[in-house]
Amino acid sequence: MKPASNPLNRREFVSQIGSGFGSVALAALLQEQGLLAAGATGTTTTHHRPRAKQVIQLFMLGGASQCDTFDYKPELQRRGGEKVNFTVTGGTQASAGPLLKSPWEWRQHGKCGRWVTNALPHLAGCVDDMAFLMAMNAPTSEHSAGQTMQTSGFVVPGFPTVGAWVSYALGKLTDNLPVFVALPDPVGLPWTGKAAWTNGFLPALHQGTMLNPAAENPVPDLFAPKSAGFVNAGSERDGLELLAKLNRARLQPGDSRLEARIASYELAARMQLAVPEVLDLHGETAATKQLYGFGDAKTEPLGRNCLIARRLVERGVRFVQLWCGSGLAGASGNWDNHGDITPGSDFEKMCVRSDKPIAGLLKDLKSRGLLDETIVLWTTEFGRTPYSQGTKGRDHNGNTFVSWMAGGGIKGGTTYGESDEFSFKAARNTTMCYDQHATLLHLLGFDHERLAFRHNGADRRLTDVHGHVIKEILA
Amino acid sequence: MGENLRRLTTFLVSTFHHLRRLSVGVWLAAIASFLSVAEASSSTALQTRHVLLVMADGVRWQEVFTGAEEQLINKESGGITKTNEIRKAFWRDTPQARREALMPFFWNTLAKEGQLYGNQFRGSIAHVTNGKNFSYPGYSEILTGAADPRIDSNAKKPNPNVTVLEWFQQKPAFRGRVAAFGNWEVIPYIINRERSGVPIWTGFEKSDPLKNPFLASLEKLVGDHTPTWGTMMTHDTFIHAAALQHLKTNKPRLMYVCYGEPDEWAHSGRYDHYLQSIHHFDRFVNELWNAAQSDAEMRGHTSLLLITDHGRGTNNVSWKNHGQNIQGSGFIWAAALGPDTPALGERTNIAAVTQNQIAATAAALLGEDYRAAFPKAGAPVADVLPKATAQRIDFIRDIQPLFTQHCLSCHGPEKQKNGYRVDVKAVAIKGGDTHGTAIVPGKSADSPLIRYVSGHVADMLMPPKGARLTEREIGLLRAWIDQGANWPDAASVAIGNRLDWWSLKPLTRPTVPTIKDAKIRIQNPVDAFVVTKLKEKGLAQSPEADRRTLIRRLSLDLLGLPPTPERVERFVKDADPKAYEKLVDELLASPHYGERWARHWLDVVHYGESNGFGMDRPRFQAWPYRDYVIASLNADKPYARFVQEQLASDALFPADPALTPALGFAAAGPFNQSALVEQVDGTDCKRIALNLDRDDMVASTASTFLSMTVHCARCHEHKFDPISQQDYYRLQAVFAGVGRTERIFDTDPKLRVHRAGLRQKIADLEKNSDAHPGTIVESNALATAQVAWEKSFTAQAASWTPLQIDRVESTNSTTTFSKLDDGSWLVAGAAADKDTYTIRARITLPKITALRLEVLPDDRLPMRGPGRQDNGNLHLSEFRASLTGAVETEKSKPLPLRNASADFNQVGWGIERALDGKPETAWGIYPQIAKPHHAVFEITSPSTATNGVTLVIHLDQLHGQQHLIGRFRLSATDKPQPVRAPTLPLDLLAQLARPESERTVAHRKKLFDTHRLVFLKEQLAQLPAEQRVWAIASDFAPVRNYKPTKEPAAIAVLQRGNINQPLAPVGPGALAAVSALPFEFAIPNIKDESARRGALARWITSPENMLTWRSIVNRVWHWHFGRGLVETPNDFGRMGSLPTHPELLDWLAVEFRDGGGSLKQLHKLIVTSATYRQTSTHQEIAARLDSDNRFLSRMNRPRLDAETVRDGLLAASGKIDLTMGGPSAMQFKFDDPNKEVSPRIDYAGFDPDSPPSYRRSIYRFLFRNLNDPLLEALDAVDPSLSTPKRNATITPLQALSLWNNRFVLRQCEHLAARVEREAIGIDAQIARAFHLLCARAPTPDEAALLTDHARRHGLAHTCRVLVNLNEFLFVN
Repeated sequence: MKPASNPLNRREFVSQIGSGFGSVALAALLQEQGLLAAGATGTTTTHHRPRAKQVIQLFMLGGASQCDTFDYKPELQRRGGEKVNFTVTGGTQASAGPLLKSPWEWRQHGKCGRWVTNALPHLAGCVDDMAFLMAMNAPTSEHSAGQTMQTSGFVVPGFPTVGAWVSYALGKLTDNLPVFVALPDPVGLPWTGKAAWTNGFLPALHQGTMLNPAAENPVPDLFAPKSAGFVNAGSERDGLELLAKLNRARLQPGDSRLEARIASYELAARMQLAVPEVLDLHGETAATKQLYGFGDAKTEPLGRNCLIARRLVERGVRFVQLWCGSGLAGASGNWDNHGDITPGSDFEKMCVRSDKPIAGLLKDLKSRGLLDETIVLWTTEFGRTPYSQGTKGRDHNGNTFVSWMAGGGIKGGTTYGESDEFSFKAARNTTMCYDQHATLLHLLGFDHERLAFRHNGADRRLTDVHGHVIKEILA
Repeated sequence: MGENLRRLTTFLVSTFHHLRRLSVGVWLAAIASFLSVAEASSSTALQTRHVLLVMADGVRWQEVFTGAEEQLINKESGGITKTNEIRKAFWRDTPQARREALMPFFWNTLAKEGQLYGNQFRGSIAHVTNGKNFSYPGYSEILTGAADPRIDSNAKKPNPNVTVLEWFQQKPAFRGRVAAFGNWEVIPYIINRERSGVPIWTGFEKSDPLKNPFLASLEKLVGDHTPTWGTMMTHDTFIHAAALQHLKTNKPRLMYVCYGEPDEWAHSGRYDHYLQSIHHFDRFVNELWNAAQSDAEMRGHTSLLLITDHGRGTNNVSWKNHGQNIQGSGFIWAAALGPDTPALGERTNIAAVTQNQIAATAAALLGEDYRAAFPKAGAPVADVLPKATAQRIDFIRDIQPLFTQHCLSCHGPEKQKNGYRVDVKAVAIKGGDTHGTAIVPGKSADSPLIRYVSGHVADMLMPPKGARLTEREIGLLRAWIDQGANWPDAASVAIGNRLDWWSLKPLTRPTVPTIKDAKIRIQNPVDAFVVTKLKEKGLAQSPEADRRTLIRRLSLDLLGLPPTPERVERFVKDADPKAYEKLVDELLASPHYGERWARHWLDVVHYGESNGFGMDRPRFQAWPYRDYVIASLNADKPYARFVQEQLASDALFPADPALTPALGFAAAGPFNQSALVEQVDGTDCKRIALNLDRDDMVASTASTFLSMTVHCARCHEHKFDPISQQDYYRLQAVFAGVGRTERIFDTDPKLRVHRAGLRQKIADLEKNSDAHPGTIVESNALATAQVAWEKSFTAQAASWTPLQIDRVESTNSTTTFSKLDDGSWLVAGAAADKDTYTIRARITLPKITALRLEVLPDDRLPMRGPGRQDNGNLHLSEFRASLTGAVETEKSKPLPLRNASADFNQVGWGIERALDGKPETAWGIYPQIAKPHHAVFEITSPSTATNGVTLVIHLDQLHGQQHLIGRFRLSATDKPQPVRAPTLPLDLLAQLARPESERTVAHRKKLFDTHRLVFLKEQLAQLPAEQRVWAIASDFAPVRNYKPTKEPAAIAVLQRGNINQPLAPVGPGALAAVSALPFEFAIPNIKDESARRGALARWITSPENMLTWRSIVNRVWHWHFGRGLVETPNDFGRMGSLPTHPELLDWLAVEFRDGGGSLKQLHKLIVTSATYRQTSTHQEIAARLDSDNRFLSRMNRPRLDAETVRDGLLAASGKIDLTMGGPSAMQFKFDDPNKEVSPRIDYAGFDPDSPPSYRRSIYRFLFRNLNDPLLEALDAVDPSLSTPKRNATITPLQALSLWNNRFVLRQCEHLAARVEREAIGIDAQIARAFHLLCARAPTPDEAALLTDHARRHGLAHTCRVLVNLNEFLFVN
């Protein structure tokens, strides 16, 4: 029964399951009546004309160093080794060491002349498509709070993540795949496990569906386990047919939920078909795979997820959350580079791991015309200190960090905000995740102040009581 | 500048008349306001106990506000010869710098912390009213509060008027505490020394040197100095010395000090001396102020009032003089500083103040109404008075009602006179068409609105008709403006009285309606209320459901389990008319009731068994709280008691420690371990996390028990409900002393005392071995035990032969080894991060059975070692041995070792880890540093051929961070195995080896003491283990940086929730909106943490707390019907829903409260109602009128919740394990190699047939971040936040889970196997399965289809279809 072993047969019988129900008609009927779970589709219309319809959020877990990637500070380069009296706040774990100049080479790139280090040579080639937020600020320098903040706008757990909000706001583009898909790093889950794509108090429909391309069931319970010996293709087909028949015979007038349940099996059957298809990369050309870094063990794992992300977007998934880094092994296997940011370090590994695949994703989306309608958002929980921790590492720093956006409605090659002379603190045009999220919703056609869901006595918003659309980076 | 000054003065004088008229209005009727405020609230009481009224004679306002005047710094006009010196001292480029140079105290302190009046350049005028502009009239006006035309000279005539000094001197509380100092002989007349009895010192008195040697000596100096300005005056320095001394020794309540030099120097035409004397005056005032602030009694309770008696002329000549005919000399300045005086600084653009206001101001500051006694006196200077209210203002609570009452009829939605309205924020602030800005946020004194309502502006008294604003109301307005005129956007539309809201009204028992229609089924008052509402809405009751439906509904509702087919049949056939009631009683008596309803409760309190956040560590001891809830529900514990126990069982029921698990309530939510445990104190991250940690407790408490959303008020006043930030932070203060921890407790109170006693004794003895002299009984027991103890060691004694070590090497070139005389080796050189020592030794014994490693302290090691880590510790990762022949190149043979033992093991770092082959685990000795330790390793197969063989030992120390051995010795033994390391230091062991008779007294004592501790510790260890529960506690063992607070942390209201912007501190309390109860808790000992929670528990459970009782009955209703009478069970505020049946809700609340808070009685009342027993069948007409069935014309049809689906499957399959309680069942594979971060847990890989799988879902282990995908798809809660009502979504992922989940499919197989056992023939088997899942038999059509399917695909697969039926998932 393992789908990967014989996808064609699987596809065949699953499509047979789908045949008997007049599925299209029923789905249309249900949608018309707004029956697919109360509040399932959330707001039916946008607040204004959208500039994009899909989102890929790339999360660099651990706190990617802005000092060694995008935030060029000549003063830091010049005065490396000098002791500067910083007021250390927040979650930093050590007292301030001397300034640590970036050991990477800085060069200007693209028409916009954006400074990027040679740690990210491929992304450096895409700067004319990106809008950089150079003075991002987080109210915390602690991993889980930082991660929860960037994904849900709150430092405490329990609130819906951006993807869940987008799902709630915009609903689905396809019947065959979930609206919101999370692709964890193959190495493991983020700091907060599956809570990283939680629907919080929004209906369960808006929860991110974790897609694990390597597992027997890439989506939990997508297929019956091998251990269930009494299940076979025939029983599957007959059983679903019988179930629908029995359920249909006892429909209660006035209770649409009973019909919705019948339809949900229909949708589930389509997902059984669509998920293996989206993960089947055989149809991709060698050139495409090359673009994403296939064929190199250092880049292929994330490259595979990036390519799957493109395929998901192509097939109508509204929001893809793609993780680079895992929280399950402490400060390694992610961007939490306390010990070392020099060449040869974990930092370099993370750069190599993500640079080509993400650049590949941008280029691929662009060449297929998908980038016009897709927002790509590169983010991390916070930045790192311009001074050293130990001798070669950098500590957490929520005071300033860099994030970038690209794609639908974004003006490529722009920057907004500026950190201070050392990249220790956001100095000018500071932005927070609220602003980024407000901008994201704006591009998707929503006023972040009006998109709300009532929970526990408050009209909750993704942006809480904050947030401004960053007009400066809009095309 | 002189010219400008003149022009300005001329202008001012010409408008003087006008100004005077205006100034009448300036005098707030402040005495009244003052007293009313002082009485109104203790929080607004005055701080002032002492007033220093200080005067400088004839100092111009020009000098005070602009410093030295350039035109006068010369010989001609100012009489100055050394102009450079004066310029150097007092001339600066700007008026600001000049005045600071001249009067540094005034401008650096007073102007910042107090108030200064009289700068005419900036629109502030101060003037005399006597018109004479010379001394006696001025002094008198200041001190009596009124100008008296009879006073027209400086002659020594006793003042006919009573001064404020005299007035106070007559008051018992002030007698002997009023004094005057002034260097002018007329002053005693002005104050009327004879009549008033006020002690006055001018320097010309003759004090008794015995009684007051200081004054007497000053008087001698006065008499000895050459008179400078005639005989009536002396120098200010003497006055100052006397006044300062008096202030320090007598702490006067009211002291008048008058410095006279400036006027004299001005008359002398000496501008230089005039400036210098002003400069001195400034310093004198500073010294007086500092003296008051240095005194414990006066500090913070002293107010300073400063004024001059007259001004001076303004031109180059007239500056020397003053008087009726000298232009400008009626203008003066005034100043005030003190705890009740708002720091408004230099006043600008305000109405004038007058000299006659000072007396009343001084009196007002001392809490007295001077004008009541002397109506002619001027009113106190309004702004010098305290803000009428010191409280934090809530616009909606305090201001909006006031606008509504006084202003709205002319300036509201109906009429907008002059274009002004107070219901629209922007207009209210901007002002009307012709008057400009009405409200200047932050500046009430400058806000015209305040002048209008206080009648300051002629013809503009507002409101012109009707009741004027009281002084208290004006005070509220002023405080509101001063605090920034905060006007929440949400309040732009007036809400009126926020307390006027259904949920905040007192509970009264509504009359039960009478229903006359006999056809309507009325089982109890519930139906009477419901039916009344149905009729009102044109709806009708549905028929009663059939018995199968009823028993399934009841059973799933009350127990969360489907009824057995047998019970269904019995009920269906039961002829007893009370069959239903009997069934209800039976179900309510079942212990599974508690399990079902505990799940509801745990949803609300967001109970989880891991920390959540990024370090989702499991809480293995959370379950006792879950069991407590189950047991409490099963015992039908009165609700008040249930609430009290959860909040404060320790405070309220200290004699019953078994209730400790109840305290798991406040700790149930997430815990930010990485911020709270890993972060050091003081970082923003940690402080924010602490604040949010309390926030979680506060929000949970208010949501759970009160159904109020207080959490909004962390950052701002609640937008809609009467919940202030104070309310919120008072609740935080309740929880300010607790942390979340594994709370340790004994259920047996006696055991608890015994254990505590033993612990204390051990702790005492460890500090001082003589702390507890032993009793005889104890001595005997000890002596016997000691003999056995000693024996156990002697039996273990082995003889050890040191190894002959040839060479020691390190993997690091910097490490050096040196051999010491005792055969041990000291390690030195730069300590590497990690190391392996390789020791080559010759064996001299013919056979070895064990090896011993001693690690020894040494003064050269950090903390004396024996390790090289800064803390003296070491970590031995592996102890490896091998044998080689004599030739070094010979290949070595590993020498396997076993049974490692050591005298001491660091917790979590046992010696067995040195033989486990894992480099990441190791042996450690912390905290027993600076002592020798030893470890023994047995040789697995001792051989006899060791003589002459070389033994190679590797000491791997791979933990890192220099956890290295600093000094060691290696030995071997040939004693027969077992060989173990005695758990006693080697030096003591040596003592034991001596015969009793050879031991010294000291040795004996040392052995006795050591054994006594061992003995006591054994006793302690033998006690039954303590129990643990994840709960709140104020005292617990610190975990890294997470420590208990010694006493509850101080809590302040935080501006916009920002931890760095604390406002007023608050104490423990609750919501002011519950008006029947005090909102501030009276707690005798404020440091008693648990008393705070006790007080809150009492407050919540008071019969007068209407929220509590409404909240719980609504929840119960919600859980029975799927919708509460209020649809928002956690929110009874304005953003929540209104009750559909307010009378029923109140009736239930009262009935429940007055009936003793029995939940089971409440259940019974509800489920026996005809309303509950209706069918759930859709009714066409009703659906049109009430599509959501809010009025219950039929029963609702809920979808089963996640746990009930799972338990229902287990019940049907027969696999359910109904064991109650205990540690949670891990229904997943649990992999926790690294005990710091979130564990990996695997649901898919878990064997659904392993025993934990069969437990009821209430007992499943609840990871916050990694929920079970099956239950998650069925809307099981995420316990990060409170879930008052569950979603019941229908999604494709849910369909996939129910269809494919391994657990579900396995239960299908079990169900098939079960029915095969229990029934014969496929039809009967299918019918049985149908009964088990849906409580009915299949119809013939259904049966035919199912049988057909079973024949083709088997019974298990047929069960797969059945468990996916709508009918199984829904309750009809």
